[in-house]
Amino acid sequence: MKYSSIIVEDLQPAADFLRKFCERSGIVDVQAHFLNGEEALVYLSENLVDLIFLDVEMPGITGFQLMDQLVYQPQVILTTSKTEYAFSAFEYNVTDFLRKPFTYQRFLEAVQKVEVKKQQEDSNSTDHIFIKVNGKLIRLKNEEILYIESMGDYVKFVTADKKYITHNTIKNLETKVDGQKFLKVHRSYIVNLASIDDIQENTLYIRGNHIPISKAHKSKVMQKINII
Amino acid sequence: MSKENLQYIYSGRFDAAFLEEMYAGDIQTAAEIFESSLNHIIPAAEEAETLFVSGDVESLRKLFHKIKPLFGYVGLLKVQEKVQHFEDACTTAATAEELGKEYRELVIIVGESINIIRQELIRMKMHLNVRA
Repeated sequence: MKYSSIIVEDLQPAADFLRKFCERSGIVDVQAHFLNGEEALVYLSENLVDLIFLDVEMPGITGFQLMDQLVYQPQVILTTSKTEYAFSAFEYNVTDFLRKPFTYQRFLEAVQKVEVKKQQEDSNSTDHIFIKVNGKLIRLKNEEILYIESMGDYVKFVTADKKYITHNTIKNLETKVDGQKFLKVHRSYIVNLASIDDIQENTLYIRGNHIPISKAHKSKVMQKINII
Repeated sequence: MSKENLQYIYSGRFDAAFLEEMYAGDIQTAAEIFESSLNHIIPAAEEAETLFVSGDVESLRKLFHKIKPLFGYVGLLKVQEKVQHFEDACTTAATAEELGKEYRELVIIVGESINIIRQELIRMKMHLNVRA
């Protein structure tokens, strides 16, 4: 498998160096290089990539701020020259943290972690999830879930005939639900794509429920639905 | 010995083992990275002086943070460490005057580094010409 990637790095020699490693590996395809986070976000709002090589300190938004604004979750390898960012990197659950300059061997280890994580994500992709409600684990089939709504520290799973409230966050669930079937359309909503009845401008409708689509997620929604 | 097999030996001032690990004998790529690093370090050193004189410590820190890994890419790992120390000093210094001594020392180190990178680049280009 070949991984599609972008490099977000304000230092041209560092990006050139990384691109050479990607070429040498034969398994990482660099689609584009951006000198700042803002331009990368525009690209990512219209293009899907498997992996982002991301610097932290750049002109404009930082690498962490970029991750906060992503509308989907590609894997991220942070590339920085400052070890102090390691803890934040851990909190953001990035795949790896490369301290510049790094050797080819170290680069390959990071790419291997990408492969392992991808395999784990693929194996986690099942037709159901379990949610904990009132001390009980309840099995919900993907097809039963219409949408998931944020309620602060809790989320509400809405099915055709029931609503389940459980302690969780949309941000966490985003990585847990099947990315092929579910999509985050707003910071407070993840919807089952198969349940959407219609879309009018910035609102989508599921069984009479109005779900807002945020500006940041709009292009991703339009990409995912099957428009003829 | 054939020209193609001619091995390049980095000068003693560089961390040759690290450079070998990074470039794996690809002197063409090494020369490209040396050249582009030089093209970034030279104007940054000039800009640093302006920032220091104006007392803009945070911009000075950002500038050195940005160019710091370039010294690593050319195998000057000790210089990279010195830049890191200066960057750390910038985060705690209240004024540019507090950084005066360290800054002047760093300027000398960076200036020397520019010269040796430049010399090494010439050597690498000569090597590539011989091999061609």
